[in-house]
Amino acid sequence: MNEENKYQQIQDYLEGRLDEAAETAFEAEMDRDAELKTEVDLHRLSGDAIELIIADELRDDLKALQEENKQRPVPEKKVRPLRRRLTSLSIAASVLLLIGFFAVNYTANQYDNDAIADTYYQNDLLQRVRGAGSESLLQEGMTLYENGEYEAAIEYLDGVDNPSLVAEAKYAAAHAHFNLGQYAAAIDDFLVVADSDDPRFAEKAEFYYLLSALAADQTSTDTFNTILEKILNNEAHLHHNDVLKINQKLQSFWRKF
Amino acid sequence: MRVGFKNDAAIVRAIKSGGSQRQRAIRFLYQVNQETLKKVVAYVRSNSGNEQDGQDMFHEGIIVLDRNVRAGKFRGESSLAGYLYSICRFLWMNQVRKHSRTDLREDNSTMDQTETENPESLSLEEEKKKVLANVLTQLGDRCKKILELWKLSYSMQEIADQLDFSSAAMATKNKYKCHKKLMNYLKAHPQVMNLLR
Repeated sequence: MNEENKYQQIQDYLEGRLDEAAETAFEAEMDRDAELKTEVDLHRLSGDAIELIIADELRDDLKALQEENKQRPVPEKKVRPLRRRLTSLSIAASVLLLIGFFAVNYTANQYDNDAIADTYYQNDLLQRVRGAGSESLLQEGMTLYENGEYEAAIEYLDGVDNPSLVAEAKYAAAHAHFNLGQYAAAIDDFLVVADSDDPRFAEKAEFYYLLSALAADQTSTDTFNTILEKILNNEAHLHHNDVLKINQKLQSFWRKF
Repeated sequence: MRVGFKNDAAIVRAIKSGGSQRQRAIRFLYQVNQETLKKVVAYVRSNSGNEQDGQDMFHEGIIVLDRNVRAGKFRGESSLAGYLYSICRFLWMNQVRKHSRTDLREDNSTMDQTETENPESLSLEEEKKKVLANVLTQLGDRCKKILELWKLSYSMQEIADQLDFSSAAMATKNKYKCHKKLMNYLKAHPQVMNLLR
């Protein structure tokens, strides 16, 4: 075998392009031929070295992106002469008096529970691999969910009983209930997931529980306040910043007004 | 203009397909994960680090995510944002342990254990960076670029177009030469090979 052919065969082996028989034969040859084994090792290590090059390039790209984000212009506030500002303010005050009623009405609406839940809610889709049994039910449920067929999705998801998949199924079912406006059911399912301590979903479930409780106007319960406080006090929580903003709205003058 | 991706699966596909698709996907991932960045910075700051450490960890996290997605190690069992956050936390915990700066609060409870690797295998160490600098000098810019594009699944025709080779066959020939040059360098420097192992 000439050098280039040997080179190509090693690459084909490492990149999984050999069929099963050829792969077995190649491995047997490696066991017999120490030199070939060393050569394969060298190919592997060279791949790692190229990965270092790729990482270094990407690191530079990310730094450039970071700079780009920093340099995005922040709108400047214009400073205007006092007399002009007073005139403008007088006009603005008159106009405000006229539209005040409507403005108050509109603004208050931005701070009601439904509006807050709507603002922060996003479908949180998951992708899974296909499997058997409960996994197949979960997969079917997820597919229906992704297609917006929420009621059918819930039927499949509620059938999942494999303990290792229940949190994921409940989490998806909770979102399906939320999308159907079935907030009480969404609350129940999100709480189950939040209590499951499944690291993939527990923090998200806590956040979506809050949104469901807002949508259902159940914000005076102990559970709501406990979870709200928990997220507010944990800076590393996935949704800490969102909940900070929500809490500001909950405490806002306009909401109380 | 930001080019959107429908969901995580679309981002994964774009990263795997390499080329400009991968670049767009990584750019998108960076921009839509600004909240994750804030969380990473908060985590790092609450565990003996500063803002810059947090930024660096976020970048290292994206680098590891990119590599794992291309290597087929990300199986889609969690969201990309959650996966990225788990990697960043793992990387930072690993770094703090290595430097023994302080007692780091264990946070395994929220780690995505199904998909995150052993932290030892995730970190790009300073020594490896020095090795990289040596390797790059030896290879030269053009060889470096050919090998990088090849590893990122660019076709030989795309490599030929980007680097002004007359044909895909010429690109293949040059890729072979550059790869051999890299392997000969490694063979001649066992200490470098040991670092890569």
